[in-house]
Amino acid sequence: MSDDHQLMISVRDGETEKLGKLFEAHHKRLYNFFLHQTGSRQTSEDLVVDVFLRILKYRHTYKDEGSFSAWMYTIARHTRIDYYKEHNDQSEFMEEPDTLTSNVPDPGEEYENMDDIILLRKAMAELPEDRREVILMSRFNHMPYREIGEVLGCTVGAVKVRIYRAMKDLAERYFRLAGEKSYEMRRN
Amino acid sequence: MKCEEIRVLIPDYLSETLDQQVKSRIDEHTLSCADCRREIDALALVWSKMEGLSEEEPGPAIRTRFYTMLEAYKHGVENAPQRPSMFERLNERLRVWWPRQPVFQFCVTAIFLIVGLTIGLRVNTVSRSTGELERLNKEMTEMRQLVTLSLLNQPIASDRLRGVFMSRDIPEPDDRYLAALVTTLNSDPNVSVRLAAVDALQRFSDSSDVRTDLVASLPRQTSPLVQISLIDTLVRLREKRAVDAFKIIAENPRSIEPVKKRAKMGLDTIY
Repeated sequence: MSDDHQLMISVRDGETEKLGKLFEAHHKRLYNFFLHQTGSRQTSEDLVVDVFLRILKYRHTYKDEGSFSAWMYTIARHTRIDYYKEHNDQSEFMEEPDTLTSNVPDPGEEYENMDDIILLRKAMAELPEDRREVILMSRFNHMPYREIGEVLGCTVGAVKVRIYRAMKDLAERYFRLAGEKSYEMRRN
Repeated sequence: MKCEEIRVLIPDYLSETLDQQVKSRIDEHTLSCADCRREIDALALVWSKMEGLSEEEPGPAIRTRFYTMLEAYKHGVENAPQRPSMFERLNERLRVWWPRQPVFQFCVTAIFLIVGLTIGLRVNTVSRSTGELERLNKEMTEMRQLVTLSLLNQPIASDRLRGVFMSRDIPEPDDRYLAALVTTLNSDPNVSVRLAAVDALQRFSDSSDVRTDLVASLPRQTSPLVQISLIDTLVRLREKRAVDAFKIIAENPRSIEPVKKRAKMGLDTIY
């Protein structure tokens, strides 16, 4: 069993101060998970704190045979869905995707790369919610298929298909934004 | 391998998590299948560009907010009774109706006696007016309120908490009982009791007086947990009269950051 799982068992059994270790281990990744979906730093920070509050609140539902990561991302999904429901319109929280940071060290010297990253962020922002989150969980958070399946409530086989379709959709949007031919056009 | 099988494996192929044998079979396939080769090339391009999307550091305030929340939770909510087993919950529910003090025990016994007599009379008497039953129901409600009011004045916090929880069984409380709940909300020394009072009063928020009391209570609260609970309640009620109180909290340098933020969000929602 993982350290996270043992820590969460302790939290569940009353040692709530151990939640601090789980927060330190996961809050940055969780923040970025929300940031890629909402485009808003402030909203993402709110959602992260809300997720950990819910973990405390529902800690007694954590199972002995559970996976902490899958459980946390299940809570994270519901937190985001509730947040949008509460605020009705998610678009009001979206910042321009190109205001977010990238790994490119010097934008002045790397115009081309910066353009690519801006386009990729725009393509990500255009993706339907369910496709975006499956990419975030697999590509950015490196979650195993089994855990993604637990979060989404589907089999490992279905997860693989979803990831492929999401990647394909992302690539098509990216190439369209970049002015290049889409897959279908490239084939002809 | 068929093209459909190959394509589902592309993410694994690009992340280099496939075993060598499967990878070789895909490579072989792409030598003769231009469609799959194009698809892999296109996805590989996007896949590699995703490396450029960085993980951003959240602001330092997030850590403060988390630990404030954790501390507040530990000191506030955890002092409340822990979630009991089904048997304990049933036991607890029944125990609520059996107070410790003899005078209340007497009251409860009297209630059962009245109910028993009523049922007996109804069984044995053919024509009894329904008005009498209503009167007895009213008496029972009043008796419950009396017991609850007495519990709210007990020195032990768990007794007062029980008094607040018993409000669930009083669908139409009178003004005296509501005033006692408001007093509990404003001046009870225990955070858990005050939090429970917010929840209890929220159930009676159809009353304009109750909403007025909730608004007036906000500036008096010092516990961040109670402040947040009250703000959330007033936002849910879309109570525009809370705007001034929210502004005071949002601009008060002594308010902690999560509470200020909640108040600002409340202002945005209500406006």
